[in-house]
Amino acid sequence: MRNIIILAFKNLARHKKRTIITSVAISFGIMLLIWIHGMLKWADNESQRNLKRYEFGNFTISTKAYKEDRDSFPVDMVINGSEIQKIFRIAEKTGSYASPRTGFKSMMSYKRGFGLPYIVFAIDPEKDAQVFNIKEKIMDGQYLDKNSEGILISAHCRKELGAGLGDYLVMETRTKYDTFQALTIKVVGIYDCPDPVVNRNHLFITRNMAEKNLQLEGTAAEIAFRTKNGNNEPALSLVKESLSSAGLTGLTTETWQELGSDYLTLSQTKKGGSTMIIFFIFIIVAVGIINTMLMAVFERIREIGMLRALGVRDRDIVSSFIVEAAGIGILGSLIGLILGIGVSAYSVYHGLDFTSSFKDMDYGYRTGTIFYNEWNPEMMAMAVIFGILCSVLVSIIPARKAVKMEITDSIRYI
Amino acid sequence: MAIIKCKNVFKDYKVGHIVVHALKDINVEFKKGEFSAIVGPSGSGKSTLLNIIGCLDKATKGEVILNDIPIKDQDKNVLADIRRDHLGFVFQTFNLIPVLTAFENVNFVLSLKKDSSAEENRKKTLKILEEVGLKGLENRRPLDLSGGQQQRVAIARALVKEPALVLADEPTANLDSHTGSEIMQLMKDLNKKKSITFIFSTHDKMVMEHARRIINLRDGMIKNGKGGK
Ligand SMILES: Nc1ncnc2c1ncn2[C@@H]1O[C@H](COP(=O)(O)OP(=O)(O)OP(=O)(O)O)[C@@H](O)[C@H]1O
Ligand SMILES: [Mg+2]
Repeated sequence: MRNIIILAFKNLARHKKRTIITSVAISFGIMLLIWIHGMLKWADNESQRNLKRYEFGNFTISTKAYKEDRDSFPVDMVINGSEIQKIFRIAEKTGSYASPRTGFKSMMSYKRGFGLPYIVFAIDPEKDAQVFNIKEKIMDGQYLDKNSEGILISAHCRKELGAGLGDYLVMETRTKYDTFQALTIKVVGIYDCPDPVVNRNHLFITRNMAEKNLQLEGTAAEIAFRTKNGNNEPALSLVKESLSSAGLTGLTTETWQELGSDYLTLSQTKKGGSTMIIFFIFIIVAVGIINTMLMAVFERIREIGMLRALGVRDRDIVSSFIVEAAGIGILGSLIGLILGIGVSAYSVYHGLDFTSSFKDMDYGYRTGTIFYNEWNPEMMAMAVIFGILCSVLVSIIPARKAVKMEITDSIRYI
Repeated sequence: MAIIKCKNVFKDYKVGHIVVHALKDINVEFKKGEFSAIVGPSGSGKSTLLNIIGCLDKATKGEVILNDIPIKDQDKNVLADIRRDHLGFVFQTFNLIPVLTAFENVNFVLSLKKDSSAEENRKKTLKILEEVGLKGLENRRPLDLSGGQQQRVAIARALVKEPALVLADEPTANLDSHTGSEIMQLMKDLNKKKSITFIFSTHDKMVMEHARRIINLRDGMIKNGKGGK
C-alpha cells in the first residue's frame, strides 16, 4: 500500500500543471464559498442588529389595541402620561433604557413638490438616543434637542424631496382627534442610517413639538426598551411581571423578533436562496474535480492495465486514484482556505460597495449597501472538508470504471 | 515437470453478433526452463494464448493449470496474486511506469510482495539491473531511456521476483533488428542462468531462430513445431 501512495504522489508531481490548475480551481471555489457565505452571514446578523438599533430596541410596550393595528400607526390607541411615568420607573428598576415614541403618518412636501408619505416619530431626543443609534448617524447638521422645533430627515429623504439643511418642509398629518394639521418645519439635521426601512421612511421631531402642534397630550404610541446586557431576558420577564403587578393590564410587550418577524421569515426564505448559490459553487468545484480525475484515469488506462498485470489488486489501484484526488483536494482546499481567510480578514473591515448596483432596490436585508463580512469558521471547516471529500468521491467513479475493463483491453488501449 | 498445461483450450470473442474463434482446442505443455516461441501470422491467436496462460484473460472452454493450480474459476484477487507471485510480463510497448525511475520500476514489483525487507529488495533490484546491462542508468526515467534500454528494464522487472514463467508478447516488435537480437540474446542468457521458463510470441524469422522450441499457430490451432514434445 505504501508504494501505491508513493505512486499517487509521484503522479501528482508528474502532472504539475494539471495538479496546479485543478487545485487553483478548487481553491477559487472554496474561497468564493467562504467569502459569499461570510458576507451573507454578516448581512443577516447585521440586519438583526439593525432591527434592534434603529427600529425596535429589544422590545416595546404598547396598548393591546395598538398592537393589533400597528401597521397603520394609530394615534388614538396610546399609552397615557401617568402610565408612561410608571413604565419609566419599571425601566429603571430593570436597568433598561426606555424611549416613548409616537409615529404620525404624514405627507411631506418641499416647495411645490408633491407630498410624499413618511412616518414622523415624535421622540424625546435624550431618551431616544439611549435606546436607538440614530444620533450617531447624523451626517449633517445636528441631532434634535428637547426644545428643538426642527425635523431630522434621512439622507434618502433629502434626495427624494430635494430639501437640504435649513430648508422648510410642510408636514401634513392627522391628530388623535382626527383633525387635519399642517406644519412648516425646518430641517435641522440629516442622518444616514444603514437600515433601509428607517432611512426611507422615518423622520423625527421632538415630543415637545408634537405636544404643541399635534395634540400629543403626554401620550406615546409605544415605548421601546433597550436592555443593559443587550438580550431581551431577564429584563423582559421582569417588565411583564411589573406591568401586571402595577395593574397596567391594557398594555402588552412585543420583542424585536416578533416585531421584525416579516424580515426574519423573509431571511429564512433568503437562506434557501443563498443555499442555492452555495450549492452552485459546490457543483462547479465538483465538476472541476470530476473533469481532472476523468482525464487522469483515461490517460492512464494502459498503465492501469499493466499494473493489474503485475498483480496489483483492483482495490489498490482505485485507492491510488483516491489518494491522488485527495492530494489535489487537500492542496486546493487549503489554498482556498488561506485565500478565504485572507478575503474575510480584508472584508471584515473593508466593505464591498453595492450602492450603485442596488440603488433604491429592495435587496431584502436591513443593512446599508456596503457589505462587510463576518468570520465564519464553521463554513471554513465545512468548505475544506467538502473540497477533500468531493475530490475523493468523484475520483472513485472513473477509477472503478477503469479497473472494470478487461486487462487485455486496457493494455492495448491507446 | 510441466509449469503450465493447456488442455482443450478454446477462446471465442463476440464482436456484435459475430463470434470469432480465436483459439480452437489448444493442447500444449511447457516445462521448467523452456525457451519457447509461439509463432504465426497476424490474427492467428498468439496474443490470445499468451494472455490466457498469463491469467490476463479467461479461456472460454478448457483447462489451464499453472504450477498445479487450476486457474479456471479463480477470483480476480487470487488471479492478481498468482500473477504477482508466479508470472512476469514483457510487453511489446514496454509499459513502464513513466513517473518511476528504472530502479523504482523494478523495485515496485518486489514491494508488492511483502515477504522481503526493503534492503533485500534494493539489492535484488540493483543486481538484476546490472545483469540486464543497465548499471549506472538506475535513476533514469523511462522517457530518458532508449527503446532497447526500456525493454531491458521491463525484462529486469519481469525477472526480479524470479517467477515460474515469463511471458513476452512480441518483445522485439518495437525495436530495430539489431537491438531486437540483443534483447533476445539477453533473455536467452537469463533463461539459461536462472532456468526461468520463457514463452514469447513473434512473427519475425530472425527472432524465431533464438527459440529452442517453436509452437506454430494457424487460425487458432497448433500445427506441429520444432523441439518440445
Ligand atoms: N478483444 C478482442 N475482441 C474481439 N476479437 C479479438 C479480441 N482480441 C483478439 N481478437 C481476435 O482474435 C483473433 C486472434 O487475435 P490475437 O490478437 O490473439 O492474434 P495475434 O496472433 O496476436 O495477432 P498479431 O500478430 O497481430 O498480434 C483475431 O482474429 C482477433 O481479431
Ligand atoms: Mg498479438
